[in-house]
Amino acid sequence: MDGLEITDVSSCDLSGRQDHRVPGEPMLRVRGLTRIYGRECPDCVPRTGPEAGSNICPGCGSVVACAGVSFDLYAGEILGVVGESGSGKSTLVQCLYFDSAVTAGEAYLRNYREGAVNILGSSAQEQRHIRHHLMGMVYQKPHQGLRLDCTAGGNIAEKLLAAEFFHVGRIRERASELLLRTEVPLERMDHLPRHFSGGMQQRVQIAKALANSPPLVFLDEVTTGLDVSVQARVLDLIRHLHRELGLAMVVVSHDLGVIRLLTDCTLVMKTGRVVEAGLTDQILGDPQHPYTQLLVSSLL
Amino acid sequence: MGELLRVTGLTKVFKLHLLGGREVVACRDIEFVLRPGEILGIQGPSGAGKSTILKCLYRTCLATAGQAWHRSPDGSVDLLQAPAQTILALRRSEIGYVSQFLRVVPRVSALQVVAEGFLCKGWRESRAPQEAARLLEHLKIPADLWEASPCTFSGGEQQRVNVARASAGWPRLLLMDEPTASLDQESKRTVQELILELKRRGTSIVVVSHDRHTFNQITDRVLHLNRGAEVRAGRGREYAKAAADH
Repeated sequence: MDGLEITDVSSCDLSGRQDHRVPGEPMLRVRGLTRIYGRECPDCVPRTGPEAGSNICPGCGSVVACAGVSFDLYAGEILGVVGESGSGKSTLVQCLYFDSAVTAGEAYLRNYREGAVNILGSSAQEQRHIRHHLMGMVYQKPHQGLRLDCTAGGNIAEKLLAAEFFHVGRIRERASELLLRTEVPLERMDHLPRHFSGGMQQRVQIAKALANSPPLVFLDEVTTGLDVSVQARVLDLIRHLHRELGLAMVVVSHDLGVIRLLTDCTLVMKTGRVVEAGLTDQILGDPQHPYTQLLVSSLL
Repeated sequence: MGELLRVTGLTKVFKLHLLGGREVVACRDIEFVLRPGEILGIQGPSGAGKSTILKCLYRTCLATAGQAWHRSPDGSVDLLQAPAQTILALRRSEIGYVSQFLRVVPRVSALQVVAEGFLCKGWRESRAPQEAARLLEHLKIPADLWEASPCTFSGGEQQRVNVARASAGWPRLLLMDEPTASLDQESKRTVQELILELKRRGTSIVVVSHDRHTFNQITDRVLHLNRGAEVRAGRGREYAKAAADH
């Protein structure tokens, strides 16, 4: 656990024990997040959604990827986002990680200026700072989060340098510790991820995302496309790291099994809207919305 | 003597959208009180709504109406209405649930599954595995299986790991759904002993079971359900006698 002291995030619980009391204030508050691709017209939001059965505006043809998405994420909690392809799950995390601009909406991160600033409206420079210091992202496709032609160790160093951690000797130490933790053989540290298997690339990506122990991590379909043994290993790894580091996570997946195993609470999305939100076992055990009932009844 | 849990008017109606919005009443106007250190049994035929009551209390199901006031050290909480974060915190610290079937993460050992129950109740990392081992030993899970994943266990072994996980850290309130189902006589006895040990340590328990013998052995009072409605409540032994006479 020694290497973890380099984190600059004081709220991170490194003892591996969770706080039993009800957390007072959410660490991430999202309100009315909306993202529309296209020209936009006043009809875009009212004429799309689950009732309309589409997220394409009949007036102007714009795609309403997300509309009015609101939720609270508490420290140490894992939030799942489920829904069919095209329901807006990935757009949601891309907006929160600043990969994509929002059309409307606000988000407040407790670790950034005491949660007083809408981070979605911050300058690009501030957003880079937040992203490097307080967030981590694991993409579905490893090449989105990794430089495949830069060594595994170099990828991790990149994230640490971005988080303003400049002690070169300790960077290498930290990289080997992370690779060890994510079960990547240390002798591969100076190899290029381009020559790794998909599962190993994904584990390097996780190591990179967690390099500076950010308090908030986004995972977008991280196990999709992996074979089942590697999938179980990656899930196990994520659970371990979550418990040890006390991170808050947003896990996007269309796989209800992954959601069941990893998450505390879940948002169900359809055509860009949240149709149901609640405790994960309640969503899966007693779904309320017709779409969620369909989703759960289709579970193998 | 006080009360740990007071349930009033608990009603659950499932709305099945896939069947054109058909409504199914699982239970209606359930009322009971659970006193500290008491074991309350819920009995009734299959489909009478026994499991649904437990699920509503654990919030795996959303109750349609009613209240369930749970007295926690930090104040009273209505388990049917409290925010998700409050329920999550209570599950970590003081409410345990034994489901009918065990569901665990692949690759995680039985010992770890049970130890996590202790860890989240604030036990030290150094103590939790020892305590977990003691519970598994008590439930007669062979020690050479502890490092294996419960996914690979027999039905009876899985059920005992399930009971061990929910009992870990001695919760204040334990909801048990058929804890002795799929167990042989010997294992039933060990689970019954553990339940009585939990009671001695101050845990209050609501237990659902078809197993009349278990009921006679452990419950203080029994709630009898028929088609979602409560028909009779009485002391365990009296009820058993009435059932035997019947």
